[in-house]
Amino acid sequence: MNSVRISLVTGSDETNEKLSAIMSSEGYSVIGTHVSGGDALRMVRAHVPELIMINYTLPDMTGRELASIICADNICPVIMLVSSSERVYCEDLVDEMNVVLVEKPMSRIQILSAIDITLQQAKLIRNLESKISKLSDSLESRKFIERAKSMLIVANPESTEEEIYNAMRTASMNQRMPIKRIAELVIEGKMDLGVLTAMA
Amino acid sequence: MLQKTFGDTPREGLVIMANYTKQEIIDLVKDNDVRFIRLQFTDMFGVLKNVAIPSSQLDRVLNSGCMFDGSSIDGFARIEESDMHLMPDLNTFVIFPWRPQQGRVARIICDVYKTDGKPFDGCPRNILKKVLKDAADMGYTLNVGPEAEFFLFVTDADGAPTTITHDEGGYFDMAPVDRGEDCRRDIVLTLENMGFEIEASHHEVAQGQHEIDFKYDDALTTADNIMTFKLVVKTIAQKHGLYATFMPKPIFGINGSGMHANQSLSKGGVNAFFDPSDELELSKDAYAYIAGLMENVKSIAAVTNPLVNSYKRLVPGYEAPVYIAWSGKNRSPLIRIPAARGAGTRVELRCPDPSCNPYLAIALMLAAGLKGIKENLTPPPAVNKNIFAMSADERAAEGIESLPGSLMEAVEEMKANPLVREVLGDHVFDLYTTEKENEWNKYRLTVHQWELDNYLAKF
Repeated sequence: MNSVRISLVTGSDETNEKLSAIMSSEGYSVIGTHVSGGDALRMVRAHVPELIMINYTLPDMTGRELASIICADNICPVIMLVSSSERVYCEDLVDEMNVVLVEKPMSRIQILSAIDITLQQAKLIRNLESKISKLSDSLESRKFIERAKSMLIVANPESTEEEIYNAMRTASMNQRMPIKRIAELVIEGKMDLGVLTAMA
Repeated sequence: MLQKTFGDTPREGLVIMANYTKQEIIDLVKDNDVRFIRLQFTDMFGVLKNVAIPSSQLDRVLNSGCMFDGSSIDGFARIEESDMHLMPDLNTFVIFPWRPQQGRVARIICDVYKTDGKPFDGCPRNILKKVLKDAADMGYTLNVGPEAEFFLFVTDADGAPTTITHDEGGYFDMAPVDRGEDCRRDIVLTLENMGFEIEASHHEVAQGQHEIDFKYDDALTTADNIMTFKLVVKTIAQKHGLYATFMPKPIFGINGSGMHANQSLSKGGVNAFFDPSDELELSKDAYAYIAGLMENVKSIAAVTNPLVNSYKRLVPGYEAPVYIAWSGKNRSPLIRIPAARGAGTRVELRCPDPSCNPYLAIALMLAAGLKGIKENLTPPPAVNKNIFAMSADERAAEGIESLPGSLMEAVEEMKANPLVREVLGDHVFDLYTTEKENEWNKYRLTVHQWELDNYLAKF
């Protein structure tokens, strides 16, 4: 059973009810059904769902506008229900914001597969984002360490690169301070090899 | 210093106001993939207008301005002299932090010029600049710090604004009672990205009412900032499914929205309102400025409080000022002197509301204060008791007058004072007063719901 929290914004109570019944029967938890985009925006910001299904046509705004706001503010993944003629207005959202388009009329199977695909895709993107963030941090640290290392090599020509790196790493471990911070202190001129060795 | 960096998200590191050259703006537009530039200006009634140009036209516009038809804008030109020029003020270039997914949009605030290259008399920004020059000729610069309040209302199913407040919170309340917190935080972050220094933001007294205070600045920058502030508040509220309104009194029976204006003059970089040797540590200039404001406030009210609705805020019982008096202590009078002294010495005029045209309102407040200084006026003694608790006779005995009771009274006061015509110029003065009289007449002739509720069944 799934307990993924989903919100629905379709412009009609009847459609909301039908979709809600399909999702609930599959074990999804429908935490909000909204007719208008404004109502949906007020609620999704308070009760952040894990997925939102939006109809292209809404009484107060287009589903495109609503999807753009939700995606730009990174609230949750979006599935958009479109007619064949509306699809063309939303295709850029697929490329730029990973919105999943489902063309109407749609079957129960199509709805459930769209939910599966969107959730899997969102999970994949989250993992990739987390990896990118870690890699960026590590690249950033590497830049500082290399700069600090080269400054220390110039100041201490008698020491090898390995000795200098080891001194920085050991100081970092002993002082419980990220090696990037040690490197920053070296660059700022607040720490030299003598201090590092003493700390190590 | 230029801050050209953009972060990974639209909220990080946007462009801060600076002294830009044309080439720097062109580079910023190119580097940040800006597709459109909105050339903004303000009409006579404080409504923000804009013309959007694609970035390909920027070079041309920065060099020679942009022509537009002024006859279609309220309070602008007549049909026979309708061609106007928008001349960008480069220092106001800002990239909007929202909607990055569709190509960025930037704005530049413009001054309006006539085709012969002279400043247009109907441009509120030019009017303010003229008064600021008068002040500069006397050796003064004006700093203004506004405190604008607004309501967040929910929209109905069709997206139209209602008067249903977003929460039931009160003054300084916290979440979860204050449901506007999320939206307000988003507004503050957006403003910070646009170079605003936000001093405080909090829930106000009435349900659904909020206040965001940004740091004082020179008068022209503050007037620009007020216009930007209103745009940002409305834009971000919309992204939260809410409608932000600066209407002064949207709901009967609860506090209305004001825009208290903290103002101080400086001379040679030193606060001209501070004098440590005085009993209240206020200078002669400060007293004269207060006297000038008090003498002219009734005649500038039609600008600082420009709507029929403004006068439904200026009634006793809701912390809004009604009586013309000043005090160094209590908060009931029209003019308050906040406790800060030294560089922070300032005068707070409490009647303006956020529906005013900030350029014209600031121009008139400054002109009134300067008149006080020029004529060496002395204010009446400070009133340190609660004026709302005084009887009409007690007020009369102390010579305490009231602000105009309606827009029509305010317009009559405005027409009776030559200072206002002198500051606004004939063009704006005549159009403004005519338009406000029309507004009053439409209101007067309309049959309101209150009349139906009270009379229809009874008579």
